[in-house]
Amino acid sequence: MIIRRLRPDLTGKIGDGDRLRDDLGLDSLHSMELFSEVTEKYEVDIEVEHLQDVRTVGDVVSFLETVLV
Amino acid sequence: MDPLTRAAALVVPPHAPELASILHEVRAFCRARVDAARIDREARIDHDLLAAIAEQGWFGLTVPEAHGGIGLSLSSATEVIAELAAHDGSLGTCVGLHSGLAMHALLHEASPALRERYLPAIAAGRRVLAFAATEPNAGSDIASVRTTLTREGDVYRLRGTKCYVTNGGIAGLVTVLARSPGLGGARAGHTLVLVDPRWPGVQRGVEEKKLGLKGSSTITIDLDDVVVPDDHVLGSVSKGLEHAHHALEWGRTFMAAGCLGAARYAVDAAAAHVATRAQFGRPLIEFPLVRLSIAEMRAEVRAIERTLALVCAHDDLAIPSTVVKLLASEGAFRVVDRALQLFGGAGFIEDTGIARRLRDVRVTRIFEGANDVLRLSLASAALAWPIDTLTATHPELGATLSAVRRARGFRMFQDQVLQANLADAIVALFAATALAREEDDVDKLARGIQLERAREALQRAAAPADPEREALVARVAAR
Repeated sequence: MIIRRLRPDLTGKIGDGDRLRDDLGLDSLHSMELFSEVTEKYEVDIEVEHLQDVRTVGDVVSFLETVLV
Repeated sequence: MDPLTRAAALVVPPHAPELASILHEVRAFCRARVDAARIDREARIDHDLLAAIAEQGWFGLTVPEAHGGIGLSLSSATEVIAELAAHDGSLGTCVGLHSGLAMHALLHEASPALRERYLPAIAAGRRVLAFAATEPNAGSDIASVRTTLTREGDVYRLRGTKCYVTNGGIAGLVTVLARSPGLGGARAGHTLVLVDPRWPGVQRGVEEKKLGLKGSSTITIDLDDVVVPDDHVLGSVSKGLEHAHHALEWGRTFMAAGCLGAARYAVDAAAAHVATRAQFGRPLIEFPLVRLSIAEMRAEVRAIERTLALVCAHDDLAIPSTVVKLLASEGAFRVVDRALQLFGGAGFIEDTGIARRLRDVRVTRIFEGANDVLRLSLASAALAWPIDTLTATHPELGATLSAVRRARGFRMFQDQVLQANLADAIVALFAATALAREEDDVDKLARGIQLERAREALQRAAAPADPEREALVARVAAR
């Protein structure tokens, strides 16, 4: 939902394997906005250093699972 | 290491020995041949003037000597552009964009064969370069371009429309950014391609009527099923956005040089005016407010000069080019505006040339990254900077950034005003770093001004949110 709002021109299904930049067309500003909204929605705090390895939609989900636990 | 600490550790190398003689030639040529008022009035740079500049070799400033160019460093090439822009903004833009934004991918991403094929003609000015990224619905959000590159059989095809293409009307080659869905294994990838405007399917539009930089060509280009040979892909398929960002880093650095030229002209013209113009029985320069204005203008120009020199010493230009673009475009507009004020009523009259300068410099806060969007990018990057090294060199910024992270975390990306204030502080601190050696009084004044700006911006950034005022702003904006 958040990704579709950030990138309204994106068509087709969004899958876990989609890369944020290469497959979804999210640039660095989009990515920051994505994490900003994710932290708001799930009421979690994220350290930016922990996001270095987050490259795909699946990475975002796994990361959130770790943080929420 | 954070970019501010890295900048503080860099040493600005001296210019190439040949730069002084090139600048002397540019100055003499422009005084003899460039009629800025005429260029503005006729809204074009005369073909003979372009040919004469080509003859001088100045379309080859950044082309390696092995390909027939002068092969200047970024630092020296931007000095030449500043000199051209001091004489005429349109000319500075034409040669600056050719040498920077539009040249970068050809120099750094093109195959050796493509470089061999085109660079000699480019250096000789037989093919002027343009860069086409902007579209009617894709400006600052460059990734949303609709121009599309597809693979059909054994060729690439390009379809779309590019607007506000600087140098478009006179270009012999255009670098085009297109989305390339599916190509190179990237669902939302982009690719840069080199297009010859004479190819079938390329249609150039009429010249735009602009507020300023009237002599610089700006057109729309339609790309209707243009066949692009494989070897005209610049860099990797699907990595075009990355390549375009690197080109924009060069472009912003060259644009800052153009701003520097305009600001230098304005302060020199204003200083000469206030030295001779008398009111109330005294030359204007004897009035304290006029002295303050001239001194601050000189300090603003110096800050741009030193920052540009420091930026050019960097290998990674991503942050530094954004900093100098913001500093130079905002600073040059302020300087030219203050010069116009010092000219009084005469400044508002076209014949003095200051009005044209003001019109010319206005767009620099918009193109190659609108300043407000660049501020957001800069603040985004800052969130990832290591606080410990930053605090060691810039304690106030480190403390503010740390407090913002603690208080808001990623939610700071929902507060654009906060981000803009953080960015303004970073720009001012970078400039203060460039002025740190305080080699003379101008440096000293310039550094003091930048540190004061940084402090003010940090105070605004650190101030607690004011929901009542935000609600008031929202209501007034919605009226």
